Amino acid sequence: MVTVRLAVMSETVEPILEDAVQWQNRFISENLRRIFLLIYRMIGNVADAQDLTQEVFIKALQRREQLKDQDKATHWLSRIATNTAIDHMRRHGRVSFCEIEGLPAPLASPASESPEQLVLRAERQAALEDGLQTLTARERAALVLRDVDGLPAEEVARHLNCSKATVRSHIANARVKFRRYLTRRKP
Amino acid sequence: MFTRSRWIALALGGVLTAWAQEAPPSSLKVNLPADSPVGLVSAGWGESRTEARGGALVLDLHTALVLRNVSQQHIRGVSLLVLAQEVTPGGKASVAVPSLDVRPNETFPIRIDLRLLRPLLTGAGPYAEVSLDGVLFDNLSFYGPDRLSSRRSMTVWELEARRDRRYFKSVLEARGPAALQQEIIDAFARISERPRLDVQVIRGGRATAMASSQERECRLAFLQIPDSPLEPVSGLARVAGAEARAPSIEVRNRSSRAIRYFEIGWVIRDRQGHEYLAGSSPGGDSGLRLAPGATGRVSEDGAFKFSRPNGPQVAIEGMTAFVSQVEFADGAVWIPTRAAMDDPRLRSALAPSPEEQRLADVYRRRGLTALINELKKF
Amino acid sequence: MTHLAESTLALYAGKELSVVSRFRIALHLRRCGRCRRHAEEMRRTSRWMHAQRNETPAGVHWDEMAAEMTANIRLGLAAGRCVGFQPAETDSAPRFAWLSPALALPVLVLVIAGWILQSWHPPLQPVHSGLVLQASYSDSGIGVEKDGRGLSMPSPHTQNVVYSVQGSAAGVRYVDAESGQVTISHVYAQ
Repeated sequence: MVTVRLAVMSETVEPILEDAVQWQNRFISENLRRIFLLIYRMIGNVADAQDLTQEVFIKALQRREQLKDQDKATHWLSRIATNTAIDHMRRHGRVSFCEIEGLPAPLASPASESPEQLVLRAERQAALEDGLQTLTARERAALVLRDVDGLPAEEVARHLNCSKATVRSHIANARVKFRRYLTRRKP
Repeated sequence: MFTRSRWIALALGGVLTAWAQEAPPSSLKVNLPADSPVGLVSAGWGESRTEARGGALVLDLHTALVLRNVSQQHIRGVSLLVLAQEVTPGGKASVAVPSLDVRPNETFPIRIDLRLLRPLLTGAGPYAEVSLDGVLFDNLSFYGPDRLSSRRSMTVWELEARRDRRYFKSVLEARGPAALQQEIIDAFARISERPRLDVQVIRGGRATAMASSQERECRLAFLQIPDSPLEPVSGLARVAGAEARAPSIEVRNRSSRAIRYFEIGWVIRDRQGHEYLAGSSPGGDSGLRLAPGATGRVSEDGAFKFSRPNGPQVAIEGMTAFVSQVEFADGAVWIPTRAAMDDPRLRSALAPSPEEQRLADVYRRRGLTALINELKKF
Repeated sequence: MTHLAESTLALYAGKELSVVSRFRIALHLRRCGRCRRHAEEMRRTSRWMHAQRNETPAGVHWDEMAAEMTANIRLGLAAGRCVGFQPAETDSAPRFAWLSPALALPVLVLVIAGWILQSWHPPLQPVHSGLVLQASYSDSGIGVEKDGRGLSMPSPHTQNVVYSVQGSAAGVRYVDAESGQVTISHVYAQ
């Protein structure tokens, strides 16, 4: 049995591993926030969104070898995220918001924001999140992908695995409901 | 119709309940003796809050102290006593940080995240006082009043840390980084396979509602550890459903040194044959002296009650005990070796050491290279 | 004047309609203030939502959460490799058995003190009556109570936590995210 010393291993193995590791790290860092926010806006719960986001990346990266075109990895990741979130919503129904006050880490605000900006930001976030909760799972997914993430309608249809006509119907219903919600919310 | 006194109480309660606020910075006092091996660099109230509830003040302490090692030795552990009051339960707490590596003149933080109670009207003075209970050095010498038995706890943690680091380093040297990675992942998996149990220990006045008809005597089984200085000989407990009461155990000192403290670990088995680490029991405290070759019986009149966070109720079918820790009269400490943990039942029974937990977290947050570099520091 | 259906205006605002349909609707909007207002509101709402796309939920410390998620992803991948994980073929595969139990170190260490050593040794200090100590994963915290008075303390962490009940104290052990140090806290009933 040959004992391989750590130093020798480092010289021969690391350059090969480094490319794969770098690609993986870059893939995660470039997509993590977007995917988390996509899932969060669909399911409305921070803790669950965290879990699902991790699950999505693991699923995607475990099949990385199957990706022929790595540029399409981003799109493929979004599809996995959407499906995962929709599956979750089906299993759990409407998910209530997590109690932000219960999060372990203390609140940390960016140094550049004034207290007024912080309050406004929190209010806008609350309006968006509450409004999304008035929608069905499919409507929510369609609206988040179309209006929040800015995907073309054809792409939204591919994500949701439905026809363009169906997705248009979801988008329309979602916008109408959302607009009515915002109208009610105004003082 | 509320009486006048009730309205007053309500009004007062309302005012006081609304008084959930931050307190002035002088509300936390840090006491360090003049010859302390650690000096205070900074301390403050941080994000702590106070809230009046009925006749008590609840302190939610969330702050960090920064200390400096002003001794000439490396510090391996620090233990602090945090005191709001000693009259009612929940007024006293401690924070210990083992697995440190603080060189002379280095600074280090200690976070305090605690909730304490104090009576509402106890006069002027700080809400809470922090004092040093002990410092453990690299050569296992100890400084401090040791009111909380910190010396023993920190010595055990440091010995476990050295044991586990040695083990991981040997795996790395013999089998390479992939094997080390596997060991760390096994550490996670080892714990994840153990279901979680909530526990209540009830002692004294509040008896549990255990039907005497359901209660039965349970003879304890033992996991023998070959080089353990203490040998469990026999034991009994009364068991009904998810409760176990009044366990007693006979132990024998098979070493050549007197023993002054030990801990016995418990494993519970349910009707489906699943085993859970239920805990460990300290035997003996001040004044215990178990001579070489001597046997003795320890017993407890309390009850412990288990429940699962989710899923069916626990039904205790059997209990197994093992020796998890021994302190000799001369202050030396014994813990199971890593080799002893090759026994799969013992390995799954023993909790990961604080160092194992810390190293696993290093790997989880920063990866394998960071873990290897961390091991190389020691 | 008949007004257009809200759903039609919604699709018009997002340009999801054909060129011909959009032209016809534009003609109507020149004459109809109410429909024009609705369409403009929907357009504004869509723009507003798009502007929020990178905003994290209030109260979330993103850098810390991202680091935590990245670490968990790395761990999940490594664990999958170690057990020879074979991914399912379709996207709609059953949910992966998430490693959160693995990532939490749910060891409960129960320690009972106050044992009375008999025969040759004087008894220990008798424990006080009515003492209840609690460590709960379901409530994520510890508690102490004596004769009906006491408190519960939620853990600042919910993952990688070890709870313990020892003597007259309940304790919690976790790794502090900022310092990387293991911190062990106890609250005492007496």
